[in-house]
Amino acid sequence: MATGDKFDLTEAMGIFFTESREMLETFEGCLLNLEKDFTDEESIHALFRAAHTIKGSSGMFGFEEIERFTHAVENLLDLVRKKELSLGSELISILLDCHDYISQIINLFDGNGEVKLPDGLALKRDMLMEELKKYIEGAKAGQDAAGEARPSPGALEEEESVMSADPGDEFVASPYWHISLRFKQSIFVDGLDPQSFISYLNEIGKIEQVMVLAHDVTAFGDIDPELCYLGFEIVFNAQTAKETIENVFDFLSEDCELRILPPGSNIREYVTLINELPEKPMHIGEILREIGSLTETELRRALSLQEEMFGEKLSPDQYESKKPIGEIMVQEKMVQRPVLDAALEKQKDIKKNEELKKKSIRVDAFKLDNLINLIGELVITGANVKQLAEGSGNSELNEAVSTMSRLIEDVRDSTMNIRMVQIGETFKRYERIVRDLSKERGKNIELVISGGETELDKTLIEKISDPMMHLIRNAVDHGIGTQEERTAQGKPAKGTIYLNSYNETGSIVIEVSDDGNGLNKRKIYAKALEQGLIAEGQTVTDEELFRLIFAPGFSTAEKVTNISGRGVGMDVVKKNIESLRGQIELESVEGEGTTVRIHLPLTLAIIDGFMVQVGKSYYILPLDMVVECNEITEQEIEGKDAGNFMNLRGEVLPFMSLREFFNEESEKATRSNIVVTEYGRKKAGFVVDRPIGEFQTVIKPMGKIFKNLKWASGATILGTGDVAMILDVPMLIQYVQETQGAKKATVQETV
Amino acid sequence: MKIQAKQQKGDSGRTKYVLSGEATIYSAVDLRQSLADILSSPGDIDLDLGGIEKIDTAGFQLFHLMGREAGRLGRTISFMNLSNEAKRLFDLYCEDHQ
Repeated sequence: MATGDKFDLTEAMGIFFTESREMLETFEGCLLNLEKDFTDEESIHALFRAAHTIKGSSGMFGFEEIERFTHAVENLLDLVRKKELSLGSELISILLDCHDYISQIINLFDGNGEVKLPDGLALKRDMLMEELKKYIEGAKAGQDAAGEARPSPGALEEEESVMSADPGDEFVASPYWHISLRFKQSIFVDGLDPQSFISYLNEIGKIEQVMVLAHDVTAFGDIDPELCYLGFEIVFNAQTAKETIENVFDFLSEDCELRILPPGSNIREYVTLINELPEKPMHIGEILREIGSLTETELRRALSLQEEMFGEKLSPDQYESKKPIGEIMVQEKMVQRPVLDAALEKQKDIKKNEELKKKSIRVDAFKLDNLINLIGELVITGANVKQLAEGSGNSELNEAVSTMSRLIEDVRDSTMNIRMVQIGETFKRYERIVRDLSKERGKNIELVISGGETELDKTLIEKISDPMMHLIRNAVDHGIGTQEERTAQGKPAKGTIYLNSYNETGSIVIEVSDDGNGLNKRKIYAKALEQGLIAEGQTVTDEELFRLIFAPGFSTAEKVTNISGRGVGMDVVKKNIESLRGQIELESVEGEGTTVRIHLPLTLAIIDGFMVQVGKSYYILPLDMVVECNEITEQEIEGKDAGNFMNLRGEVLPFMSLREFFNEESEKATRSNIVVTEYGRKKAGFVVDRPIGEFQTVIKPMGKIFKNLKWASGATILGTGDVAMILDVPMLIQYVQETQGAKKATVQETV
Repeated sequence: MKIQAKQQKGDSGRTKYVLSGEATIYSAVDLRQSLADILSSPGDIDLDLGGIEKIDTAGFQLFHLMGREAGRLGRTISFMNLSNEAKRLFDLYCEDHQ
């Protein structure tokens, strides 16, 4: 494709890179599947298609480097597909390296265009090419030795020299496709009209010539006008693939016999065509000549071949004696079958792909963000209108407004939903990492994925990818021991890492767990002591101890590897998760394994809020985290120097008065309410003056001055124009648990 | 509309028929009858298809077979003055007409 094309090539190029990356993902996924089962046909085919697609589109965009390399990969996979080369773990490893190499050069070319490869990459390419070549040649040599009767182009030529003195004459001169159509007699009655399909050919090329044939027709008076007697011989001029033409008639596949001969076909294929068509050979041959598919000489040659090949019926046992003719027939069958199968399969794939494509469209993320911003504004304006309507006392207006509010809510929900992506895709990426790492460390580890269908905001998924990677590496590196260690502990030699994800109150939970060694408490304690994080003799709970792992610069690994043990891990992970308003916690049983649990908020921009009033201020709590709301008496709040705890149906609930917390000075309300919230399996209550109710909340980030406000995650604008703080409930719960917990501890000590 | 055939005075000994209506699978039985009637009269025939409002391959087939039959009988049929619909289909199938 010339760079001077009218349409914007850079845009198309972007699509090329995105698609190639997707293809590479498939490529990798298939390899990992194949590693478990070398004979998984579906994966083999998908693998081949992925390589084929990358090759094709890179060629189109002129990335020769990619094209040449993927071509070699495709060749090798073609052999695998045809079962001439079998996959083994070694070959899979090489193919995985090929995958890595292709991703590297794609990343290199993205944005830079095709550039000269740096020496390292060029070396890698040469090495891989060499490996691929070895396999391809090995397969070919093995085949020749086995004496397989697969006709190679060379063998065919030999055949032809036996048949004809002038092999150059064997390919027809016509530069056009020849399409031959015969219909089922009932086609008209079935409500089908061939004209729409034939005229569609003019959309993908040009019909040069059509010959209408009628067979089995006696006198005009005897015909049944509702049956179809027609056949069409079409000379078609198009630069297209055979499948494209086949697809045109796909809909008719059960109602017609379709034969397609590509431009410059072997004359033998015409011979077969002549023989297969219901009309007399001479007649059909004449027609082929008339419409220009065959020249006079070609026709004569074809007819003589026809006589030779099909003039006398050969029974199977005669094949041996009349070798040349017999072999052609065998050959025809042998060659045609796989070609046909491949064509059919390809057609199926194309259909499948098209169906998939229909189900999703690519949208620029920017457009989506813009839409979400606008919906944010709409929500605020809607709230304003609602407030005004309520003030007006006009009941009809109120009714309309409440319908509108509901609609706005629906629009908001479905828009937010657009951004939701299943987490499974991301999970799959880690398979490769686990595989490579465990190999490198000499461990045998399996990654088990569950809950891949849980949906998460796309931005969140992108941002948790790094922290997740770290956790998984940790699990491989420190969590799971070597096979010998494991067997000695009486565990199965194969270690397992579980990735799980599910929804919980107001959040999405992602778990990374392993069945490895668990955390060594003594080691952590000693290390913490050494680093001065705890004092000598201090008693700490397991939870507190494990939390130390997230302290900056903390690592107990004895061996520093290239990926973990340098102590720059868990604190960064924690920071990343917290920047997403998420939380991370860790559970571990020594000798049994470790579970790291990440809680993430459902959405980022707009939430369902629960509005409460304290004094003259309004506050919003994310509705997802609100469990219940109760009235609370003065007695229950007052006189609890020992810490604020109340009995919630037999459960101890720490609570805090927001009035005190925010130093609200206005007059106390006569009655108070407690809002019970839960996040990350922890509960806390907040005493407020008045619960107001559900409120659609657009989270507006607060200015820089407020960046140290830890208990507010943002602000929103109310219908009245007032500003309400959105409380960072997870943070507050933690605060309440800690402060009240500390009080509880001191109380216990004094008692 | 059902198919209708009207005989008109043609030039130089040819008989001219004007067809109008639909030439589709729905009218195929009638069309065949009309065409068979036309064929049964002697001499060369001009068939005016200007009034063919709709035509499909079933209709086309009858014209095509009629032409072949005439040829077999040593007579000629010219399809002339084709309506747009008919012309499009005849052209698609590369069938001769005037």
